[in-house]
This record gives sequence, C-alpha cells and structure tokens, in this order.
Amino acid sequence: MALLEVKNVKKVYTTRFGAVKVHALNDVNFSVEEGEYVAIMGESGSGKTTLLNILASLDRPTSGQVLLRGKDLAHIRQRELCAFRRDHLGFVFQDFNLLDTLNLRDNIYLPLVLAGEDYHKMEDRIQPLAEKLEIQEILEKYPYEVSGGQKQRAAACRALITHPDLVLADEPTGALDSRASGKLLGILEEVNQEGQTILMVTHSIQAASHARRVLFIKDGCVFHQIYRGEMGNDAMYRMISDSLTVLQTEPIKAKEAER
Amino acid sequence: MKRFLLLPSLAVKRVIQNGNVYFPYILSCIVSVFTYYIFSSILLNDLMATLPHSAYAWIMLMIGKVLLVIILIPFIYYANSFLVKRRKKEIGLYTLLGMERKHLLMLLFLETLFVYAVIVCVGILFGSVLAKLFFLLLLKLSRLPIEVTFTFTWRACIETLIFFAVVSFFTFLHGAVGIFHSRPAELLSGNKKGEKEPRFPLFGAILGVAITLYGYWVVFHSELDSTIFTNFFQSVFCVVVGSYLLFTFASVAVLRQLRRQKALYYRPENFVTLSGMYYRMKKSAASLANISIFSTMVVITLTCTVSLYAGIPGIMRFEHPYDAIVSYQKGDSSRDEIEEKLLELSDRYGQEIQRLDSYQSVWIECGRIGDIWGASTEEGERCNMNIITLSDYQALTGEAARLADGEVLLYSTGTPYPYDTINFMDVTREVSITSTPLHPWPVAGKSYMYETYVLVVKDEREMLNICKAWTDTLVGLELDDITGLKRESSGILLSGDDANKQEFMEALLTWQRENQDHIFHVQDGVEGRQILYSMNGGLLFIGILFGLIFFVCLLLIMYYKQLSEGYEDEGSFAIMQKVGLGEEDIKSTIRKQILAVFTLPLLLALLHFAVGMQMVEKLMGVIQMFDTTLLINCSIGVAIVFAILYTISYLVTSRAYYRIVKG
Repeated sequence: MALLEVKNVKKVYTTRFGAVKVHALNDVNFSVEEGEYVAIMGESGSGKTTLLNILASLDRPTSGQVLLRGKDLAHIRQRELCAFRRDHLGFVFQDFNLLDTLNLRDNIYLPLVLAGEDYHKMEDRIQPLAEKLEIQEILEKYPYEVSGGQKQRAAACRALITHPDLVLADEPTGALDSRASGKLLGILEEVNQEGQTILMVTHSIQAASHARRVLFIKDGCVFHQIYRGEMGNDAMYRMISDSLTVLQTEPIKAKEAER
Repeated sequence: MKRFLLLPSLAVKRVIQNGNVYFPYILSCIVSVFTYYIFSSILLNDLMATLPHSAYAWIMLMIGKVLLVIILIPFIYYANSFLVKRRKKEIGLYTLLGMERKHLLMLLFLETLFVYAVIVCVGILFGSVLAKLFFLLLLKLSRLPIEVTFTFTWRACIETLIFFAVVSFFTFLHGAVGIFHSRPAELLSGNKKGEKEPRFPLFGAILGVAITLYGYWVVFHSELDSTIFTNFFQSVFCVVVGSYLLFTFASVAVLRQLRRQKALYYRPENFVTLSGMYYRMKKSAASLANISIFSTMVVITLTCTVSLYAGIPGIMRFEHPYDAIVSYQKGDSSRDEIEEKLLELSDRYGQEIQRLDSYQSVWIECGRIGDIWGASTEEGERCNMNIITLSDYQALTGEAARLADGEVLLYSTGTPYPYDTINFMDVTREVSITSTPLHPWPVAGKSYMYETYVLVVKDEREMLNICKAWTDTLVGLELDDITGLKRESSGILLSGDDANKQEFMEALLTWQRENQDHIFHVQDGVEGRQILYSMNGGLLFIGILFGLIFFVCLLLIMYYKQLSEGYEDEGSFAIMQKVGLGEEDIKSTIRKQILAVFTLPLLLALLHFAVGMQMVEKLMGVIQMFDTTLLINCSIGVAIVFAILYTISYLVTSRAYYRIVKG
C-alpha cells in the first residue's frame, strides 16, 4: 500500500456570494510510496500551494480523497487534526516559521513538547540530527541571531525530530542563497536515503533535481511526471528543464495545431 | 477629489481606520478634558466664592487642579508615544509613495487638529451637561447649602480650550520629532529584533528587593513626628524604584531559573507560557511597573479620601468633643450662670441636650523622660498635661473614685502610662491609672504627635501645689501668672436640627461678645464640623475624580500593552498552529500568559498598599483620625472594588489581544 494516496482531488474556491468559482485543483491523482522523494513543480497559480495545504490537512478538498497510510484525512475530526499533524507530518516552510520567542533548541523541541514527550528523549533525538544538519553549535541562539540557511536547517530539524511519516516542504529554498540551498538540498537527499519520505513543492529546478520523482502540475491537474531512475543530478536537471519547456510551450503548439 | 482636500481627508481616514489605536486615546483624552473642565468650571463659578464655609473645598479643588495638570501631561505624552510608534511604518510607506516631510508634517498637524477638535467638543459638551451634577455632588459631600443656580461659564470653557491646545501642540511636536527621526527603509522592514537580556539579573533582582524592603522598613519604623513627611517621600521613592527593578530584573531572573528546570519547562502546559513570558517580561517590565504603581495610587487615594469622609464623626469627637465650650476665669462668672444660659438657649432653639459638663482645668506642656516630667518641651517626649480635680472627675465620669494624700489618678489618651509613680518637676506622687473615658479627652488608643494626659488631683490645693512646682522650674514665672492656663469650662453637646443648632451658636456667640469682660472664649464646634465637611468633602470629591483619571490611565496602559503584544504575537500563533497546536490549546496558553502577566502588578500593588496603609494610619493621626477599624474596613472595601474593576479591565483589554491574534 502506498504511504500517501491522492484520489480525484478537486478544490473549488467560491467568492463570497458564489458568483465566481475558481477551480484551483481539477482532478489530481497520484501516490507516494514509503521512502520516496517527490517534488511537485508548476508555475505560480498552478495549484501547488492549494495541493500542499490539502496534504497538510490545513485545508479540505471540495471532493476526492487524501489517504495517509490508508486513513482518510477528511475523516479526522477538527480537534484531532492538530495532534494528527504533529504526529504524522513534518513541515519545512519557505519563510522558516520559527518562533522569535524561542531559541533554536526550543523551536526544535516545540512539536515534541506539544506531544508531551519526556525531555530526556528530546535530548537524545536532537543530538544526531543537529550534527547532521550542522547546527549543534548554534542551538542556544535565537532565530534573529542566525543566518537564513541556519534558520532553515533548524526548521528542517524541527520537521524531522518527530520521525514523521511524511515531510512536507513548501519552497524550502525559496528564501536562501545558492550555497545555503545546496547545503539544505544535500541534507534532504541524505535524509531521504536513510528512509525518510519527503514531498516538496517548488519551482526551483535545482531543488527538484535532487528528488527521485518530479510531478508537474498545470491548471490544477497532474500534467506529467518523470522518474530519476539511475540518472545523476545533472541529467535530472536537464530533463526537468526540458519538461518545463514542453509544459510552457504546449499551449502554443495546441493553438498552432488548431489552425 | 480636489487637491486641497486630500490631506485633510487622509488625516481623518487614518484616525478612523486605525480606530483600535486611536479611539482609546481619544476616549482617554475626552475624560481628561471632561475632568479638567469640571474642575475649572467649579473653581471659576462665582457661587464658590460666596457660599459660606466653601473656602476649604475651594482650596482643595485648587490643589486638585494643579495635581491634575501634573498627572495629565505625562499621561497624554505616554499615550501619544504609543501612537508615534504605531505611525512609523505608515510614514515609511508614505515616504516611499513620494510624500515629502512637509506633507507628512501637514498630515500630522491636521490629524492633531482633528483629534483636538473631537476631544474638546465632546469633553466640554459632556462637561457642561454634567458639571451641575458634579457641583451638586461636591456641595452634598461638603455639606454646603445646595444652590441650584450653578451657571455655565465661558471662562472655564476658554481655559480648557487653551490648556488642551497647548497639550495638543506638544503632542504634535512629539510626533514631528518622530517623523524627522524616521528612516523609510528601516521603517518598512519588519522590526523583529529581540530585546537584549538585562545584564546581571540576579544582582538587579536583589537590589530591587532590597530597595523595596528598605522602603517598607522606613514605613514600619517611621514615627509620627516632624520627619514623617520626609520618610513618606523616601518610602514612596524607594517603592517606585524597587518596583521597576523588580519587574525588570527579578521577573527575568525567576523565569530564567524556571527555564533551567528542564523537566518542568519542557511540559506542554508550561513551555509556551514560560518562554512567552520570558520574552515578554524583558519588553514590558516598565509598563507592568507603571500598572502596579498606578494601581497603588488609585487604591491609596480612594482609601484615604473615603475613610477621611467616613471618619468625620470620629474626628469630630477629638477636635470638638462639644458643640460649644464656654470658657471663663474662676470668679469672673459662675458655673450656675453659664449652665443656665446654655440650658436657656438650647431650649429656645429646640435642641436636646446630650451632655452638659463643667470642669476646671490647667493645661501645661511638658517633656517626659520615663516617669520624670520636666518643664522643657525640648527634652524627652513632648506631651500635653491637663490637670483636673477629683470632684470634677467624679462629675465627668459618674465614678466614685477616691484619692489618698500624695496620690493622683492618671489618664492617657494614647498608649497607657507604664509607671507607678510620677515625678512632676520634683514633686513625686503615687499613680493609679484610670481608663474610664473622660468625654472632653477621648481615647485614641495610640500615640500621635503629642500625647495627652489628664492628671486627676485630690483637690484645688493639690492642683496649686503642682502648678507651683511647674512655675518654680521656669525662670521668671510666678504662680499668679498661670491664670491664663487655668480655666473653667462648660461644654454642651446637642442633638437637633442643624439649622437651629447654628442659630443657637450665633445666639451664644452674640451673648459672649456682650459679656466679653467675664467670658473670654466660646469654642464653636458647629462651625468646626462644617469646616471639616467642607474640607474632607472636597477631598473626597477630588479623590473620586482622581480615582477616575488614574483608572482611565491604567486602562489605557493595559490596553496599549495588550494591543502591542497582540501585534507581536500575531505571527507566533499562526506558526504554532501549523506546527500542531490546536486553537483550544492556543487560547488556554494565551489566557494563562496574560493572567500571569496581569496578576503580578495587582499583587504587588496590593502589597504596596497594605504596607503603605501603615504610614497612612500614622498620617491620619495628624488630623485626629484614629479609627483604625474604619480605616481597615475602607481599605478592604476599596481593595475589593478595585480588584474587581481591575479584573474587568483585564478581560476587556485582553479581548483586543484575542481579536488581533486570531487574525
């Protein structure tokens, strides 16, 4: 059984009086296997963020199903959703979303504390992760005292410390320079190789080229997907680039065909 | 839109759109205008000058108005600085959009003008509607004749307009400085820098505790003498400084210690609360200390004025034990003649007699060291000694006391006299103590400025012996010279209609003037009572208005604190929700945090208050208010009412916080 199954998901936004309907997602179908590293690409307005919000259970689909380990997210009651997110999902956001009131260590501990874990366990868990993410030196600092790359690695640490079923990353390199991006992507790849399932939404080809599979979304549908197979990162980069060109030029071709 | 209307309409729109910041400011300014207007229209009304006995109420109000100005200016400055801070980001945006500083200044000027117009219009309008009501309240509290011809005075209006024009001009300058110091780039970028942790929190905390405790120590150890006022200001200063230090350092030190208790800190129910408070305490120490000091001020002001007013009957017993005391020299007149006159007059004016006492007394000031009483008031404890004879004592108390030769009875209004003997200027007597109440000298039960003693001697010959001992000690004084200190008195206490009592008094005073040669003094307790009501009623009136103003200050400080924290925490709670904190958890966390942050100043204020009352109790002794039970009851009552109002304002202001945080 797949870890994550997305079946016929539709999302329609209606304006206040129902006058205008916007189809953000038309009919999305895909699944993610245990241990996969999937990137979802698409242009602005293609429905990426809507999809991610639905996967994160922050939003509900208009119709269709999202199953995590066979459990339908729509059937979880509102009050249990928070605990569900905490226990099964890890998040990495574009703007880090670290609390200014906490130092990095406490920011990382936050989901475990909320889950009521013993703090000895937290200390045991943070040690190897912080080493891997190269933040063990700055754990006592506050977010406003460290660089963007360090903040994002701390945020990744927070996402990983709960050993979630699925890490959802929303444009994780969006606010980082290329060096910091490279470092973060390397770490995510490494983590994935150790068995962590990751789903990342991005429009950076560099970021997507680290994934094992890339899904392309266009106008609210999965348009195309490519598998890395035995390809290296560079070959993957070229292939994604080509696919995007096709994605962008396809409407022109379609119009030409109509003539 | 026409060009010249752009800036004015922008100014007005800004105020309305930022209503959650501006309306509370405007509202508190309106209360300020209102109070100021009430004070000046009562002070400037011709009636105040013509009403009898109103002079004391007038003076109290005058002092009150000066204090009001002293309080209002920093208060409005504080409130305005919050507006200046909030305005900064917007100014950054306007600058980027191409507004020049002259436009911004014009905008600020128009805004100030608009706010000024609103506050004076509404404030004066409400003021003039309610001034008469407040005036009647003052008259009622001061027991002055209720006159209903109170009229609207333009002078009060103009005075208020000018005062607030000046204040508004300064708020404009304050805002203008803010504009000139602005850097657009800096203003637009999110200002998320954390505050630096105070250095050496433990040292600061210990210093804060030490200074506060020293202030308390001064309160507990100050005696009712000439140093009490310096002690008073010393302790107020210490407590204010101590409170600031406590909130700045002690809170941080305590929270830091709590954070080190990892098993405790990393619990879901404590984690967010403690870390949030730690972050917050650093920022809001000053406003918490302000809240605590303002609370103390409100509670002490109200307790003092309420208990002074409620204590008037008690004070009367000390200041004027009789409605009238007629004094004369023995031989000039006789008890029978005086008593007959008093009976006749009280009968004529329909008064019932509660007491009619006649006694002879000598009044001497002495200095006491242990049981040795000297003539010099410079050495030892200064006290008043009244000497009366046994027969008068028996008449005053109705007690059949006996005295042997060489024995005296001693009665003390303060703390009991602890010795068996009295060495009065080298005349030694055996002392037996009496505590049967002597009406002209009521028992206070504690010492105040000068202790008052009554020495009961066997007969008039013994009285002369003692007086002789006194005059012998003093150079150049003969026994015959003491006639001025030795007098016969007849005191009468009446019950009946107040107006008739006044007529009785006038008739008595007229009679005294006609017989000046042999009746040298009439002490007028009826007027004394009216003066007391005029003074303490005026004080209570000021207390009520000041309580109102202080409370509005408090409310505004609380509100702005909640508001600024709401804006700060807005992002944090969105993040926490994403990371997996439910809305219910968030709510309970917020509640806990705000509750902790707001309970601390209240608790500290109540502690300051409880200690401060020790000194107030002593100060009350100066004006002969000795009723400790009344004082305690008033304190408890005021504290409870205040705690309730404080809680309500906490609930109301925290709603502003919730609204912002929820987004």
